[in-house]
Amino acid sequence: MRTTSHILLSPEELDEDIQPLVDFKTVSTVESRGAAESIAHDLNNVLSLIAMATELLGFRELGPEEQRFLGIIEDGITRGHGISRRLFDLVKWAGAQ
Amino acid sequence: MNQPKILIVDDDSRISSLMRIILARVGYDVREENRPFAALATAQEFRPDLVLLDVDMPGKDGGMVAAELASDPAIAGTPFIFVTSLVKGNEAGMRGAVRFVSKPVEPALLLAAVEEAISQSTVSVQAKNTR
Repeated sequence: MRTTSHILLSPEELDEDIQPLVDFKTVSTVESRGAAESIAHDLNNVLSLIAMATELLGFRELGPEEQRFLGIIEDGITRGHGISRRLFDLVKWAGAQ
Repeated sequence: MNQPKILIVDDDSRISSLMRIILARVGYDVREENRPFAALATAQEFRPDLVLLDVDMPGKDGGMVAAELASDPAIAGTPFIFVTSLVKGNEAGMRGAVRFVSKPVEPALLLAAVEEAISQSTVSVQAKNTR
C-alpha cells in the first residue's frame, strides 16, 4: 500500500491553507511570551516578599538551627531568582527570533 | 533635622509594607500608596524627598505615575527610583537620568540605592541654594 508523503499545492493554495496556521503560530508565540513574562514578574514579586521578610527575620536573635533554616530560605531565593532570569532571557530570546 | 521622607507607590501592599519596615528601621519617614491613581494626591500632601515606584501596576504603570508627578511643579524635582523586574540585578543602578532597583528586591541594594539618591538630591538642593 502506498502512503502519501507529501501533497503538491500551488502558491495560491499554499498561502490560503498555511496562512491561518502561520497566524495561529504567531499569536501563540506572542501569547506564550506574554505569559512567560507575566509568570516571571509574579515570581519576582513572591521572591521579593520572601527576601525582605527573611532580611527582617535576620535582625532577630536566632539559634543555630533557625540560622540554618534562614540559610536554606536564602538559597531558595537565589535559585528562584535564577529561574526568573532564565524565563526573562527566554522571553528576550524568543522576541529576537 | 527631619528624617528624609520616602513615598512607596506599589499596588502590592505586602511588598510596600515590607519595604516600609526595612526603610523605617534605618530612620526614614515612609508612606505607602497602593493605588497608583492616588499617587499624585498623596505626594502633594506628603511632599516626599524620594519616590519608590513599582513599574508594573494595573491601570497606571510606574512611568505614567512618574510623568504625572513630574507635571506638578511642586513635586517635579523629586527623585524617583523605579522598582522593576525588567532589569537584572547587575543592570540596576543609574541608566541615563533614571535610577532602578531590580526585583526581587534585595534589601541591602534597596537601602544603598535609596541612600545614594537621597544624598545626591540633598547635594543638588544645597548647590541650588548656594547659587
